[in-house]
Amino acid sequence: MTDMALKYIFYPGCFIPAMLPHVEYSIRYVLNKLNVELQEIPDLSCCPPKITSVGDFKAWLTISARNLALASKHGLDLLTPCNGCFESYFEAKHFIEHRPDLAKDPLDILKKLGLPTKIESNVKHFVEVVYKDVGLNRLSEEIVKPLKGLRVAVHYGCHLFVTSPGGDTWEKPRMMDEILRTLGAEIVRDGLERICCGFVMSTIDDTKAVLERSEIRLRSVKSLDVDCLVTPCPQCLIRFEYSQIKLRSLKNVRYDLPVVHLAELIAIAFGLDPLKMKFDRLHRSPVKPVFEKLVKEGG
Amino acid sequence: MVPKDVPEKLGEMVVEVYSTGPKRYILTLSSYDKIREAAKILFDEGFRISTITTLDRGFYFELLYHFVKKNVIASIKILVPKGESKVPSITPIIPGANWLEREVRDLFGIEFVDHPEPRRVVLPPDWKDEPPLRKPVAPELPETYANYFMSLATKAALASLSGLAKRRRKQMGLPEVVTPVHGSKDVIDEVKKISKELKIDRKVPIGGK
Repeated sequence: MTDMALKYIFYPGCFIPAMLPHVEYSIRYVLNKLNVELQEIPDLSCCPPKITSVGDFKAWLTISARNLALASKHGLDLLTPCNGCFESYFEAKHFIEHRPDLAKDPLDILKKLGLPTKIESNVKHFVEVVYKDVGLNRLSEEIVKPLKGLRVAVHYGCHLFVTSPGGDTWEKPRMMDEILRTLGAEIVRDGLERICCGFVMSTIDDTKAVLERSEIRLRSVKSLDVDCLVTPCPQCLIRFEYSQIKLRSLKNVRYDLPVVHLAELIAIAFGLDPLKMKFDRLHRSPVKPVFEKLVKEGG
Repeated sequence: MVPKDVPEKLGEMVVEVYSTGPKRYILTLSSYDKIREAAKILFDEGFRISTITTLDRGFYFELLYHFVKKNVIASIKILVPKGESKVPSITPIIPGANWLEREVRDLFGIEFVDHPEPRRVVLPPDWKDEPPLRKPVAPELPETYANYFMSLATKAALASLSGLAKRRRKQMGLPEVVTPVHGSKDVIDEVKKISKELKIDRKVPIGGK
C-alpha cells in the first residue's frame, strides 16, 4: 500500500459545520483513513453562493476569487464537500481564466488588498477527490464492512453536474455511482436523479418547494423499495429530511424515507459505527434501521 | 483559439468558445460593439446569417447571431447591457439581416445603430406598449437576498454556530473553529473593504429600508 501525499485546503462550507456535524465527522474520518491531509486556513470567507451574482456579479466574483487567491498562496487546491461552494469556486475559476473582461475589476481589487492575482488553485469536490485523486483501488483497501445488500437511490445535487462549457455533465455523478458500487451498494434508478431538491426555491417559497420539488422525488424514491436515499450534497440532505417533516403537517403524508450522506456510507464501510457515534440522533429521517442493518450485516 | 472551421481572424475578438455538437460552435465576443466586424469576417468567408435569437437576462440581453456555412454553424454571442440597449447593425454589411434585426428591435426594444430601415416588422405601427418580450430591468439586489447582502457587507456572510451545534461538535471531537464558520476580524475587515470598493454597502438597506 503506497500513498501519494494528498493535501488540500479544507473548505466544508457553512451547512455542514453548523448543521451536519455527523457528516463533517464522516468526511474527516474517511479522508483520514485515505491519508488525505487537510490544511485549515482561518482567513477564508463565505464562498459566496453563485446566486449572489444575480444581485451583484462583481461582488460574487471578487469574494470567491479572494478565497481562491488565498488557497493559491498556499499552493493547494480547495477540497469542499458542499455542492454549493463547489459550484461557486468552479465558476469563479472559469470566469477568471476565460473572461478577462469580467475578471479585471475583481482581480484589481485583490491586487489592492495585496493578494495574488494569479489564481492557480482549483476546487475539487469530495466525490472527485475520493474517486479521481485517491482512486477506487485505494478506497477498496479500507473497506472492512462492504455495504452488501444495501439498495440505494441516489440524489447527486444539481451542482455536481457543473462542468466547463461543452464538458461531460455526468462525469462527477458517475464517480459517485462508482464509489457506491465499490462499497458494495446496489443503485436503483427512477430517472429523477437530476430533479432539484427544492433548496433554492425554498428561500423564496418553502411550501411550494416542498410540494413541487422535494415531494416529487420523495414519492418516486419511496416506490423503488430502497433502503435509503443517498446524496453527496448537504443542502439536499437537509431538504429531503426537513420536507418529510413538513409534509406530515401539510398533507398528513408520511414517507419515512431514510436519507444519508455519501460520506456516512463510506465511513460505515470503513468500520465506523454510526450508532455508537449517535448519528441517528442527528438525522431527521428514520436512518436507525439502515445503520443497524449495515452494522449487523456488514463485512 | 477558435476552431479550424471558423475564420482564424475572429480569434482576436473572441473570449470564449465552446462546442455543443459536431461542427456547432458558440463564440462569445469580448464586447458587443465588435459584432459588425465579426459579421464582416464571417460574411467575407462565405458564412450566411441564419437568424438572430435574443434572451432577456434581466440585467442584460444575450444575442446570438447564428451563421451557417455548409454543415458548420457558428453562433456569435454578445452581451448587451440593458441600460445601453444599442448594438451596431450588421445590415449595412449583410442585407439579409434587415428583418432579423427589426424583429429583435420590435420585441426587445434594442436599437440597431445605422440600420437603413428601422421601422416595425412584427408589431403593428400603432403599438404603444413596451416591447412585448422585454422584461423590466431587475433591481440591483433582489429583495429576497437583501439580508444576505447585508450580512456579506457587514460580516463577510460568515455563518455562526448555535450553542447546540457547538456542543455537538465538542462531543464528537470536531475542531471548535472551522473556516468559514467563525468570526475572524481580519476576514470581516477584508471583505468589508471589498464591499466598500464595490459599493455593496450602499446598495443594501442597512439600518432599515
